[in-house]
Amino acid sequence: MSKTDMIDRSGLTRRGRRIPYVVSLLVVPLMQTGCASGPGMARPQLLTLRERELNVESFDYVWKTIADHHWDPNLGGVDWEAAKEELRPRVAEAETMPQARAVMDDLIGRLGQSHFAIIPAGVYKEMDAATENGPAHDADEKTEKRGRAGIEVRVVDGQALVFRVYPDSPADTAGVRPGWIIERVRDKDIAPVVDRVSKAYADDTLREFLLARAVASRMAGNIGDKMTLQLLNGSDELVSVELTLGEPRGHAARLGFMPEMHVWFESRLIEDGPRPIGYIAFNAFFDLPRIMDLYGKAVQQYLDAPGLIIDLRGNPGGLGVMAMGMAGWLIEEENQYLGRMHLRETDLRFVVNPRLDTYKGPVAVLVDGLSASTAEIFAAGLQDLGRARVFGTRTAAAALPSQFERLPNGDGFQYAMASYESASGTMLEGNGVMPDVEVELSREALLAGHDPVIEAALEWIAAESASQAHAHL
Amino acid sequence: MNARRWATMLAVAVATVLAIPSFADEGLPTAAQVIEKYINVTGGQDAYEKHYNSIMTATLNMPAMNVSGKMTVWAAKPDKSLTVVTMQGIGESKQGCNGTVVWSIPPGQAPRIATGEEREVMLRAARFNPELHWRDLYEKAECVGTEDVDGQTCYKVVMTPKMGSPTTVYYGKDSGLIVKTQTVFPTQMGSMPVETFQDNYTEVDGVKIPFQMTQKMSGIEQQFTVESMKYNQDIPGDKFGLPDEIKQLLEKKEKEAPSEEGSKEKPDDE
Repeated sequence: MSKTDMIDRSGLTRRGRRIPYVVSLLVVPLMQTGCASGPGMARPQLLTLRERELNVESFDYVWKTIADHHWDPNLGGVDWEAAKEELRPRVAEAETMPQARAVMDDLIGRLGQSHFAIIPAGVYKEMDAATENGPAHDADEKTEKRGRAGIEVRVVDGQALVFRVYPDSPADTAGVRPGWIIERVRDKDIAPVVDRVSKAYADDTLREFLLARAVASRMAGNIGDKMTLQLLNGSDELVSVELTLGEPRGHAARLGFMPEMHVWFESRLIEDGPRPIGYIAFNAFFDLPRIMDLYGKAVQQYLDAPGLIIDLRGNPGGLGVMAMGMAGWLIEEENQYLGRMHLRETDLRFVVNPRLDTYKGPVAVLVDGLSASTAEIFAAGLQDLGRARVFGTRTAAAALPSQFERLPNGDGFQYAMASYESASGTMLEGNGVMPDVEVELSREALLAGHDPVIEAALEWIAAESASQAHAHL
Repeated sequence: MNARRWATMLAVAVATVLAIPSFADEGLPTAAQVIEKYINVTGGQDAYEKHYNSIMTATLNMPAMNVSGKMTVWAAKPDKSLTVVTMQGIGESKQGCNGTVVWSIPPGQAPRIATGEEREVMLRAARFNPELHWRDLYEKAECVGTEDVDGQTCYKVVMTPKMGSPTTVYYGKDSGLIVKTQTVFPTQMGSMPVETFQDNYTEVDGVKIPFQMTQKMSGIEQQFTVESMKYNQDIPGDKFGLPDEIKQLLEKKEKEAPSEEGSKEKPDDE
């Protein structure tokens, strides 16, 4: 399988270094569901003359927007005029929408940067239909709501592991547990998929992200769809599990042309030693009013806890402003900033305004290769300011402030309009956040009911607490 | 993309009608003459002076991004204002000035008190009927030439405040109305170049105001459409009072750094 083939299958439309950012949680599964249906998938319709014209208009819009608004007027040395000359005729000649999108993907892919994406119009049609609770605009397009098994996947040592099982999800009800190996999905072997992606992206910071997505995409479908999984359980016995996909975890949220996301938030106390530790996790920096409210209340609840863990593993980012707001609960000093974004016209700092009551104890931020964008901005900022210790594995290295627009042909268009460097001056794009304490997951730990990353954070918090207690004596 | 920006940008647009006259190049009117004409064509000084407060409602729209919201601005003599913006998917943002303290509570962010240049700009913006008080607010204004804006010949007036970046205002040569403004707006995050286009002047109680404003900032276009403008309304006395969060923040700042600027700013609205 070539890289191009993989691009089409995965829906990640990646050439060089592009990542779906917040789009990933919705767009990728949506596109991948079609792939999963396989034989039943309809052949793309041939475009009308008008649709071809709209594709050319869309291409021109994409080209000009990047030319006008990219923070680097030289576009990193890419010959943008030549790219237009080469690709514009190909868009005009494209006979189907996938062909037209592939050409536009080619154009934006030449930048070799994350946060540039073309989002199929069908994503928006489906969201609109869901919002209106009525039929889709196009009778040919199905409007089933996307379902989930309730499994988070990580590929560890070449094995697709169940990392987390969401409570009361179909997978939970079916008895699937962390540490089990996903062998087959819908009668298709997973090992070859893992092998191909691993080899194709061997040296890429997005490898962990792409591996997990490649497996997760094969478990996608609509609510009510039946799916058979074959897994190796804790005793290495092959277990066959039939699931009926259910509602995604969390609440559906939308903002502008950003695709809809289901956002969940979790906070609890972890009993560890004489005083419990605060734990906060959420899957995206999105649904601002609800998540910021929940986050603020959780931090206030844990103000006296000896430590606070913020788990950003699997979090692909979202709204940058939320990183500043969340940091405001943890940083007491004024005039601190997480980092700086560089636009063509000006530089803007991600300023942190302290809350009246801030959490003053040790903070551990957990990350992995699926932590991207705003998650990286938050983790790197706190790390650079010396306010948090970061645990886990290197992040996705895909952090560019971007926005979403609609194109004349109805597709969505995400483009980065700024570069970003953390408080220490490190460009997060391409570098990511290196954990202070690198901790890998292992199957054995997961099977034993342990999360080695959380445990490493707890150990550090205990040491910090002891150290502070000793200092007070 | 945040609501606070909208509010501050509106403030910029209001502030740009202020100027001080000075000598101009031969053949050009003085800045004072241009501004006086603006006051006259928008209603005249007497019409302005009849108003002592206002309530404006408006819609905000960023069409390219499909983000929209609602805005309400309460304003009163001499320099009080309160702006509340609600954006879909973002939440509510508040920004106010009681004549001394310039504050904001952005959605999901800690409450804050503006200082320095940002505070100065917002204080100028909060001045009610700023057109009538330009001598107090700007150090220098100069008509530097003419320039076409969307096919309309405009006088280009550069206004320089005592603190902060100058603002360039484009007045229609024939209409006398402000067509466009350019400035660099100071924010806590950094300086932001802003262009504002004003249109659809509509008379309300004897004064014409632009019912349509389009702002371009960092490649993002924001549209602002006035839905209603009412003068001399019954606004409760505590409308411009400091929110509890801001009072607590002031107290905290006073305790922490008695010499800081914020410590001199005592709530005067109680």
